[in-house]
Amino acid sequence: MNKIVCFFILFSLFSLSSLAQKQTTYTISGNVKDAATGEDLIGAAVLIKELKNTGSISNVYGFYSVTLKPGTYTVVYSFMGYTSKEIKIKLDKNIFKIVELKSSAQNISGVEIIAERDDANVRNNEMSVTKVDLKEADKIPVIFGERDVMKILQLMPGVKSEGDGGAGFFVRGGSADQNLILLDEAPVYNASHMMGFFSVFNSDALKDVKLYKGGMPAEYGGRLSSVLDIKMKEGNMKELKVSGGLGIIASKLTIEAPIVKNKGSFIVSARRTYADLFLKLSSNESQKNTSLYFYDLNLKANYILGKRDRIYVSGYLGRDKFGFNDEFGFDWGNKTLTTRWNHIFGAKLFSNTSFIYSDYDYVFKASFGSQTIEAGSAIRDINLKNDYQYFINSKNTLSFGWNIIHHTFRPGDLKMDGIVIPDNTLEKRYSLESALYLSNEQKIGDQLILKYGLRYSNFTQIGPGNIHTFDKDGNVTDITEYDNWEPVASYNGLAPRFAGTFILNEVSSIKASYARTFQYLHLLSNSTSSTPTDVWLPSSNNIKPEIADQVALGYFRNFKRNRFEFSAEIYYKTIQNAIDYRVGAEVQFNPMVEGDLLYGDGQAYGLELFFKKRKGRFTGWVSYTLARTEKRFDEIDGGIYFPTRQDRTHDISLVGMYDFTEQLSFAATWVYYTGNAVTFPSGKYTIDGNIINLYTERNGYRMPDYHRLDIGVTYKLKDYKYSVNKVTGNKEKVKRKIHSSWNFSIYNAYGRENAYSISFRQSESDPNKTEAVQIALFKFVPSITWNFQF
Amino acid sequence: MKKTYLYIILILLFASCEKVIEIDLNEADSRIVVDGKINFSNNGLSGEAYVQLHWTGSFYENNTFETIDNAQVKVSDKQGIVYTLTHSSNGQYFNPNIQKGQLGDTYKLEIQIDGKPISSQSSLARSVLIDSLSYTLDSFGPKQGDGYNINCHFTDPAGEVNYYYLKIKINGIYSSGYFLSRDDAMDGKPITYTFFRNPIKKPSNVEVELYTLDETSFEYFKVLAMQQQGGMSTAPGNPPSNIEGEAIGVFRANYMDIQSISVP
Repeated sequence: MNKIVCFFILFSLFSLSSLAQKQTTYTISGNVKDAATGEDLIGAAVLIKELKNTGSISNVYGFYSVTLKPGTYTVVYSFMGYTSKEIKIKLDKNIFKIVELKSSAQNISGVEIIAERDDANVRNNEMSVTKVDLKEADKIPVIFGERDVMKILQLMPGVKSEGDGGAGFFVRGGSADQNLILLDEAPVYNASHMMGFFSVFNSDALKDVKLYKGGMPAEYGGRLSSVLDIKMKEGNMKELKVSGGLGIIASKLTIEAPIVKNKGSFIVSARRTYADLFLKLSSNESQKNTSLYFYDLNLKANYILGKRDRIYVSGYLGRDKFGFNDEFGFDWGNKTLTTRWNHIFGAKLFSNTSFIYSDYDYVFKASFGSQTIEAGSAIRDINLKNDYQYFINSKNTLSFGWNIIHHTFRPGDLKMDGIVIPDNTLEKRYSLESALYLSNEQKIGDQLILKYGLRYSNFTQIGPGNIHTFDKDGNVTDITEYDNWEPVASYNGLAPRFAGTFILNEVSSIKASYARTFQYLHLLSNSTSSTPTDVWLPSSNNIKPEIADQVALGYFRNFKRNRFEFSAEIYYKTIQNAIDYRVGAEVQFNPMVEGDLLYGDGQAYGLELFFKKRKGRFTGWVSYTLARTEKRFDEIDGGIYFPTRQDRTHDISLVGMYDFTEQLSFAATWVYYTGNAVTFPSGKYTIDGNIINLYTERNGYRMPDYHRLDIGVTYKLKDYKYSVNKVTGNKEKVKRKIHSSWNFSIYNAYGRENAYSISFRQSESDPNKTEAVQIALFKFVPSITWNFQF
Repeated sequence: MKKTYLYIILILLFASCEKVIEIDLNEADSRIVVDGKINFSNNGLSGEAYVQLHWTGSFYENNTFETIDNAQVKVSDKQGIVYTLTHSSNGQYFNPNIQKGQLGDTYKLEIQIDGKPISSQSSLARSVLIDSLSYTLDSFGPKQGDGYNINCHFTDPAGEVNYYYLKIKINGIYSSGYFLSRDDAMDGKPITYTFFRNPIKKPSNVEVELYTLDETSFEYFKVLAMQQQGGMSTAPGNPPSNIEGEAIGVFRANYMDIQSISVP
C-alpha cells in the first residue's frame, strides 16, 4: 500500500514539475488571518492586480502560495466581510508574508466598503456549494433560540429538512445517511441532539461551514449526496475572549485565549440543556421523574512550531441523556478527536497529516425489579489521512493525498446485569476503507477555470466473524468463518470529478460539474425519521456499495455592484445499488438484517433558484427547489419507479432581516414544502379479530404540505457609553468591555399544525370505524436568549 | 419498545397535538381475505378448522365486511384425508374433526369461490403448554400504578426455533393487537410473556391463549404487529401471505393452549 502511495506522489510531482516552465520564478506565500483574533481565513482570495485570472485562494489552514516571474506586483488580499488589503511587492526572491485583514464590521458602520470582495460566488470555481455566514446565522430565528448552522443550511436551495422532530437533512434527493458530515475532518455519525431539535454543532465554536451538494472535490469521498465540512475555530491568538449565552432551554460558554501570543491558542466551548428542569415543576409524577438533557464540549488547541510547522488537536464530546424513574435510561452521543500536523515543504508544497478518531454509540437501559437489561450499538473509526497541496504556478494548484480508515461496527449487544448475553449479541464487523486522490485546478486564459481529478477508493470487509450469505429472497445460503484481518469481500471504486467555471463578464458566469461518488456505509432506520438508534451497516459480501453519478449546470449573476446575488442550477443524478427494506424488515438486533434488504436503483433531478439581497438595512434571500427523486426495486410494486420519502416537488424558503437601528433588528423566515411521499392504506380487512390496513403501492400518498413562519428580534445593548474626557471636557464615546444582546423568537408563529405523523387505527369513539390520526409537534414555541461577549 | 420511548420523549417534552383528520384515500379494488386456522390441543385427538372469508372494504366504511358465503372450503392432511368445512353464517366455515398429525405435518387448504381456486398450506409446530399465569403491579412506564400486568409463563423446547402467538381475553373480551414472541436467546429456557400494553384493573377474569406457529404464519403476524404499533414503520406494505390465488390473508395449523386466572 505504502509503495503505491509513494509511487503515486512521486509520479505526480515528477510529471507536474516537468510541465512547469523552466524559466526562473519566485513564490510569495504565507497566511491570511483575521486582524482581531489571529484566526486563519479560509478561502481568502490572493490576486495579482496586474495579471488577469491569476492568483491563489487560501486553503483551509489559511495558507496561500503564488508563483510568478520576477517583477513588481500589487497583491490584493480579500475576503468576504473583510476590508481588502493591497500590498506592493518586488518579487526577486521567495517571499513569506502573513497578512491580516480587518473585518468590515470593525469599521465605522454606515460606510459601505467598496473594496470588499464579494463577487466570489461568480468567480470561484465552485458550484453546488453553500457556505453558511456565521454572522448572519446569529440573526435568523430558530427553535428555542439556539442558533444552529444545520437549520440555516436547510433554508438553502437543494437542502431539505427532515421536518419537525427529524434529525437529518436531505441534499438533492439523497437520504440523510448520504451526507458526509465532518467536524475538523472527523466524521460525525449522528449530528443531532434531542431528536434533531438541535444539531451537535455549537455555533460558538465554529469557524467555517461549507456544504457541497455536487461536484465534490476529489479529496472527499464515502457518501453519495453531499459533504458538510465544518471547521472549528482555532482560538483567539491575541487576547482572552469569553462569550456565551443564557437561554430558556440551553446555556453555553466559550473561552478562547492565546497559549503564547501569535504562536498558539486554544478554545473551549461547552453547552448544556436543561429542558428537564421544567418537567420537575410538573404535577405529574412520571414527568417529574424524567430527566432529559444533552451536553457537548468542543476543544481545540494549536501551536505554530515555526514557519513550516504547526500542530492542532481538536476534539468533540457530546451526549444526550434521557432517564425515567431509574427504571429506564437511554443515552447516545459522538466522540471525535483530530490531531493534525501542517508542514510546508519549500514555498509551494503544503502538507497536512491527520490522525482521526470518531465514535458514535447508544445505550438503552431498563430495570425490571432487581434485573437490569442493557442494549447498545456503536460504530468506531480510526483514520489516518495525508493531504498535499502543490501550488505549482499561478495557474495550477495540485491536490493529492491518501487515507485509510479502520471501521469497527458493533451492531447490537445485549447485557443482563452487566454481563454480555452472547446468544443475543451480534458479532462485531470490521472493515478497511482507503482512498487515493489527485486533482488539479487550472486557470486557462482570462475566463476559464477547470478542476479535474480522480479518486480511487477501496473497501474491504475483514474478519473475524461468521459471515452469512443470502440469496435474492433473503434466505441464508452459506455461513463461513473468517479469521482476523482475513478479507471477506472487497470493492474498488474509481471516481472522476470535474468542475469548470466560465466567467462571462465581471458579473456573471456559467459553471458545470460532474462527480461520481461511492458509499460503503449504510444507515438502517427502524422508522421513517432518523433516530439515535439507527444502525450503520458496512458494505459486505451481501451489500454492494452504492454509487451515484451527478451532473450539474449553473448560471451565476450578481446585480447592482454585488448587492444582489442570483444563481440557478439544474442537476441530474443516478444511483446504483440503492437500498430499501422488505416489508417487515427488522433493523435492530437482527443478525440476519442483510437478508431483509432490497437492492435497486434510483434517480433524482431538479432545479434550484437562489436570489439574495446582501447589503443594506434589509437583507435576505429566496430559495426555491423543484425536484423529483425516485427509486425502483424488483420486489416493490413490480419494479416501477416510486417517489422516495424525501421526494418533495416544491420547497421554498424566504428569509428576511431588517436593521431598524444599529441596535434593533428583526428577522423572519418562512418555509413551505410539499409533503413527503408516504404509504397510506387504500382499504382494510380483518384477521383474527383485528382491523388491518390494505396497501396498494409504496409511497403513493403525500403528507399534508408543510409551512411555518418563525420570527425573531435581536436587541443589542449599546457597546459604548459616553464619558467626559478630563483633559478636553468633551463627551466622548468609550467602548464598553461587555457586548451583549437579547434575542426573542417565536417558532411557528401562526401555529400551523404540521403533521409529524399520520397513523390509521380503530376509532376510539366508535370501534366499528377506523380513522386517520395526525400528530403535530409544536405550535408557537417562544424563546428568549441572552448572549454576551467580553 | 425503544421506538415507543422515543415518542414518549417527544410527547413529554413538547406539547404535541393529536387529532383525527380527514384525508383522501383511494379505493383499492376489493380483494378476497382468507383468515384460516386449525386449532389442535395437546390432549384432544382432533382439531377444529375455522375459515373466515370476506372482501376487503374501504377505509372510512364500518368495520363490517361483505362476507363470502358461497365458497367450497376443504382442508386435507398429510395422509390425503379431505375434510369439508361447512358454512355456518357470515362467511364462517367450520369442521371440528381434523385428525391430529405429527410435528411438521403439512395441512392444505383449498377454496373455490365462483370457480376461482385459492389454496394455502401450513405445517404443524411443536405443542407448548402454558405453565402458569400470574399478575404483577404495573410498575413500569408512564402509566405505572394504574393496574396489573398479566404474565404468561411457558417453557421453550430446546434445539429449535419456536414461534408464539398469544391472545388475551379480559372479562370475556379479547384485547386488540397481536402479541408475539420468539425464542431469540431464550432457546430451551422458561419464557415469561408480559402483556405490558394491557394493564388490567381489579377484579378481573383473564384468559390467555398460547399458539405455536410455523415460520411463515409467524412472519405474517409479525408484520401486522409492527404496523399496528405505529404509523411510521420503515416499509409499510401488505405482509407476505401464504395464500395462493387471488386472495390475501393467512392460514395456520397450530397448537393452542388456554389457561385462565382471576385477579380478585
